Amino acid sequence: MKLLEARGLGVAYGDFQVLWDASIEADKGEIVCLLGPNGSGKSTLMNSLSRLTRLTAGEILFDGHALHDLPPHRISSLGLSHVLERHRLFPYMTVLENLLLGAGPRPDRARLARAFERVYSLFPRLKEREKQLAHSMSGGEQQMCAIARGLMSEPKLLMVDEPFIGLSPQLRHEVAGALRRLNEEGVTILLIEQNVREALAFAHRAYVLRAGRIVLAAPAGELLAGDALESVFFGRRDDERLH
Amino acid sequence: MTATLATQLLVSGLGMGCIFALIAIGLTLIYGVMNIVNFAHGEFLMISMYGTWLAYSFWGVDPVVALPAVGALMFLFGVLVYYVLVRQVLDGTMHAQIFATFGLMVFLQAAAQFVFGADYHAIDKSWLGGVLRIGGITLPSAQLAAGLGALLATLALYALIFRTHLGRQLRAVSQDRTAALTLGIDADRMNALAWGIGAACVGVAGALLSSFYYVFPRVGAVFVLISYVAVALGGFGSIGGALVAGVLIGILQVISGFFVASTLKFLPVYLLYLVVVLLRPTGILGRQ
Repeated sequence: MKLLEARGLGVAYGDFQVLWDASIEADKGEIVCLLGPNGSGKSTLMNSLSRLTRLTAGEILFDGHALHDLPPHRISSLGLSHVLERHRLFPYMTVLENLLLGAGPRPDRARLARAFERVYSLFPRLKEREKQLAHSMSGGEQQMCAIARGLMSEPKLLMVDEPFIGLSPQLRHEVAGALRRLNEEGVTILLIEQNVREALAFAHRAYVLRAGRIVLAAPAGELLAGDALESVFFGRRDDERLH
Repeated sequence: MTATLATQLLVSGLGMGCIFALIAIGLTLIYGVMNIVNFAHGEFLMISMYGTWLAYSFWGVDPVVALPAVGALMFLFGVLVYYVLVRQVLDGTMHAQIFATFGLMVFLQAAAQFVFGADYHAIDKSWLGGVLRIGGITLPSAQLAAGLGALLATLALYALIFRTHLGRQLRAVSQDRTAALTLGIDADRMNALAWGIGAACVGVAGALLSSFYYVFPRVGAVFVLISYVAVALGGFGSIGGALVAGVLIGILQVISGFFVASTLKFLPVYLLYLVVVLLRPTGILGRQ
């Protein structure tokens, strides 16, 4: 069943178009990955889904709601959580305060208790760091805290922008394990990741972007086996050849 | 120097300091949440002083009674200014933002002069008039009450911002606006709230001040200039910093006013400001 269905998304910054006619879907329970070189529009696409970026075209349907008409602060309560690139915690607040803010404007007690139990079982070391200011933690801990904060609203779809960037292999493993566990619990995940092999080993399906367009959409296994990816990352389009 | 004199100076300095702090916190709150300096902050103070004076001279309402109403009305005024004026220039250039609140300052000052004239007005028979004698210490009770009132208002504000979920959301918007949006916080409403609370701060300060200070169209400049110093001294956007710096300035100006000359009472304040800004540009409690 489709949880997310976005069609024909376009984004422009002023006169400068950065995303053209992007359509993406995610089924319930899937892990979907956005791949592509730097500046290909992955984050822009994700930001447009959570309405942080203004759309010039297209529509977004999520779990029975039309997101394209909504302001950004209305999105998380519908079950779509967006964990921004480079964690973006509130630096001068404690881990506890960051997590509380993740639970939405008016969290009720029972739900809050359930959400805390879940994120602390997923990332036990956050419990130890509860009273610590967010900016004083290590990069890996901050990334865990950001994912945990995104989970406090109990989302159906978790969007994570480059969760593994700058993490040690050990932490990478830990964060990936947590995401996999979440997925097994039924959370659909949309992910941006630079490391193609790692992403494809992790995701069920991937979209490949290049210069603001989706150029490829396929199951992860197919992309791993074939050589389609190489031409996207290293090849040149016809119009870029010398002439 | 006798102990009596020292106590008198300290109490008087603390009292003024708390008022400076309250005005400065209003200013720093608006700046912290949306990176806009409210140049009309002093004129907000002026309006609330006129409001208190009008209530007194037309309906005989004592400033003590008028205070909650003035605070509440100023809250609404702040919200109105946000929606009608500030919100229109949010996506504009920095110049547009500066001129918007600067223009509001000029407009409000001119409007006050047009309506009330340039005369000085005073509330002469407030409940808080007269002096208070404790032992050998003589204290003007209006100033004492104003200081105490400002302190209570500051503490209440502190509790609101650091102890409630609403305050947490305000701080979230000030620390990372985009992240706050992804968590379902309505940043636009938080902006309006910051303007409301910021204006209510000067509303309360104005009502307190008017029981012992003259009301005239340019009265805002007297207090707000010092509050800008308090904000910069404490660190832009830092509420604790504004509090500490406001109280420090209050004590410093009373002491230097007494020992040097009352015309020079703000000189050491600006000197302190220069020294702090040179040695520590982010202010006492500021962040990089």
